[in-house]
Amino acid sequence: MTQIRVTPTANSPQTHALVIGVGHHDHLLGGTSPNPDIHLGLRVLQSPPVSAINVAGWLLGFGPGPGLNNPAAPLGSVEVLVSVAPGAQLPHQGKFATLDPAKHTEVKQGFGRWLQEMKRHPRNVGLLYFCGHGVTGSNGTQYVLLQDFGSDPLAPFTSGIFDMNSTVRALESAVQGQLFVFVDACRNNSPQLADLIGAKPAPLLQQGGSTKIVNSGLTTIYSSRAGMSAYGDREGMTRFTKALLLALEGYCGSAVAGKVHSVIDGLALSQAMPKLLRFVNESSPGEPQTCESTPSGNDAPLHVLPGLPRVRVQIDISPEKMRSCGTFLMQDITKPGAPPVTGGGNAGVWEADAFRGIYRVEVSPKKKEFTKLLHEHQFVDPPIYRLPVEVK
Amino acid sequence: MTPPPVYVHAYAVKDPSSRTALPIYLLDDRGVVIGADRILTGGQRPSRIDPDSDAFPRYVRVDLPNGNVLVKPVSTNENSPVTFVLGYDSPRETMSWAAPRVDFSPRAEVLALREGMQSGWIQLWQLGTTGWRQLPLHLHGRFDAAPTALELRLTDLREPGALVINTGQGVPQVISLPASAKLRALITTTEVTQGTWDTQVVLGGYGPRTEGVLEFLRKGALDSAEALDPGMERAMGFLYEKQKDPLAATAGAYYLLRRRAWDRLPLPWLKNLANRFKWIPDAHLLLACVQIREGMNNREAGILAGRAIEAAFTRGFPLFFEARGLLQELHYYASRSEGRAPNQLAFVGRVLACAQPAGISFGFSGLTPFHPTREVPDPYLPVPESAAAPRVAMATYGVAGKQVTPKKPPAKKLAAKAAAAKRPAAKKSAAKRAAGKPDGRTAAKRSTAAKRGPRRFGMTAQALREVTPKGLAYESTRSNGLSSPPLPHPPGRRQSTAYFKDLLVTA
Repeated sequence: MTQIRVTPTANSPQTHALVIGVGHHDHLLGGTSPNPDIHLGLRVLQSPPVSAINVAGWLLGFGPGPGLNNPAAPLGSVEVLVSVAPGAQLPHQGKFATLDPAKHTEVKQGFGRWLQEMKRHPRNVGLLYFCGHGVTGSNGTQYVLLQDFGSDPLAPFTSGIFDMNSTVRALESAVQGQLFVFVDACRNNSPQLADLIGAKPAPLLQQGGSTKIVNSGLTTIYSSRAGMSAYGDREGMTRFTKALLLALEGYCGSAVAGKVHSVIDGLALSQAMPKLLRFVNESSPGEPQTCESTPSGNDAPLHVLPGLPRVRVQIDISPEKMRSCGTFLMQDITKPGAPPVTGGGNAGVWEADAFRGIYRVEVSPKKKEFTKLLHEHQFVDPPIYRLPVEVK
Repeated sequence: MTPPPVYVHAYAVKDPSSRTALPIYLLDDRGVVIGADRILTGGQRPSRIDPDSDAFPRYVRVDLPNGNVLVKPVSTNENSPVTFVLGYDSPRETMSWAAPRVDFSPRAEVLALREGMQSGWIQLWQLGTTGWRQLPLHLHGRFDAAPTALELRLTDLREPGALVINTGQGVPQVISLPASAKLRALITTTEVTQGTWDTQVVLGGYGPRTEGVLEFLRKGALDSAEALDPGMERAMGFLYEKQKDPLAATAGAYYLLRRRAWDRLPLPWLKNLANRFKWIPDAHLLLACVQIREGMNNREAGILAGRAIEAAFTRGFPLFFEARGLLQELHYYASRSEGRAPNQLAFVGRVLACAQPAGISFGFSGLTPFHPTREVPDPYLPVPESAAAPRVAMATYGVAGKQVTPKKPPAKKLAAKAAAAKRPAAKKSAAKRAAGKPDGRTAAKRSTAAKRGPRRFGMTAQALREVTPKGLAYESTRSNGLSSPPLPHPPGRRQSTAYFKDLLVTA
């Protein structure tokens, strides 16, 4: 059992997380006992366990930041299930006492414990994160694969796999509190699998007696559009998880009236994630990846930043040959005494970090290569502020 | 002392008569919202924001549906309104049109030079009582070629329809069209990442109210939608005034459903929307979803979901992509229910599996409205059976009549046919047919057809060949039964298919 209890059970709202990362599959290509009748051409993966461990590590504060901060619903428990190749080393792994493998039985048990925690209080906040192989069946339903996919010889295509969409739908009828669901998996259509899994893999949670929705708010973010793939680094994290952690580390958030802090909620994540993923795409080889988010209902915060959110500033000078001949200076006009953000003078897009604000942006030549340009009242909003500038 | 109000004006320069509602925010120096309202572009009177605090300096922010944000400072002179001049980025009455242009830095020359666009085409289909049929589509004089994109003015249809667009990027896209709406299609190439380009199709013209709401929903910007409509009164008003603008009523219902505002979605209003505007398939899905989400047992939910799907798909496809989530939910319940037509659910399932938005419009990747697929047609593969005989379409749309499955004649029969064609009588008959006169064989066929009565569905394999553009693999392989088609430039053209390269040359 890898439920990490962060704060004792209480009668007040808490945040509970369920993190699943499946990289090792027994019966897929590269697994311990690959089965040609089952693997469907899918291979074991390396990035999902790294991604899942990083998400769990971020929640618990094992990463560079202090971890999840939600004063209205402090972190109560984190359930971590990770399938990794035997002997593989993961970041923060030593900080977890034990790690259950993401096999069907263990995942069901972990999901059950998480659900039980979620039901303890109507204003609890839940986070469900999955990273691993996913396929889309013949009706657009996303199925996600666990370590023991194909292990039951009598029902190989319904074992070690579950229906993600129906699980989330059933959660809406079972959990009152705010839910955040992040599914980092491919959504490719697999006609072969769709035909093979005619029996339809079951969800982790069956719909109850009534179809009534009791859930107050749900934000679901899929790492890819329907029918498309999700990608990851062989040695590192997936693109989607990189973008998610960037968002949670502060490149996302909205201000609260009369308060110093900023909140990261479903709306802020829904709007930041496509932009952050595009930013990650730019530094990744291969096809671009686009995520899909659906916020609905009310929106309780997931994470609270102590101050203003950060913004990745990108200033794109054209013609390109002028990039090395100039610099930029950004001054937050609402804080005249604050140090300006500066940069430039390099080939490629000029980049810098700034805090959210309203800025005056100056683009100046080093000598007199082009005319100085001034952009007033630029609303620099997270996660990315991109300013294309044509100089003459 | 109450802080003085701030007045805001917005002008849409390209279309001053537009009445697009946009959210406006009053910000303090931290960017914290201290007041919010909405503004109508082209409105005569300025909007008034009453701030919550007297903090200064202050700024007014306007959120455009294309994701752009405009900010201006508030003057210390209380009587001086903040004025925004919109439209340089947003050339149409709805800002959604500019979305792909602004967000992804498109280049018109890339659109024209894309290999796919040179073999791309567009078709118009309509769903009548006899099933889907293709309509002639003449785009000359009905398009604008701006430096950044190609915009087509579409013929308004009497019945629900669909566009099939092939931009040369894999499988064509089928996009739902409502009846009696003057829509436009924008085809533009956008840069997804540096050096990676993607051709996008966006449909617009549903009206500023509809597009305003659905654009924000599509982008997940519920906060902007909320700023436009605090308390959701406006969306409820759209639904109430469904007679005035049924598409806006549908958009309003989608918004209220997303916000889970059950108390603002009265079932009688939704029933009226579904019953009075049968050409809006989404209305049936909305009604069923609200009923199911309010609670019932699974069996009842299955029956209701099945009926709603049937009602919606008899009238074409859902109009808006927001329907996909609802359709998935209903499909889930319906497929667990006994007694549903498996063909119908299988077809809807395939549509869901191939779903692909075109802006706010519902669409899916497919070869025809009755053949959703994500697989690129391969000229060297045999014809998919479902493409040759649109069984699903017939079953799905509930059209009565005997199903015709074209059978390939045996080799012996083909040889006999070839020999017969060489006989003088056959030659005479062929000459008559060429001259447009009925020969003996045609007359006999007509006589049989007259006895049989009017055809209830017209999509035989022959009809499919007629309506399918040259160049698609299965069409050409069927046309002679054996040989592979000469791709990508077909020798012949169909009048009913408009080719982009003709427009791009003209442009």
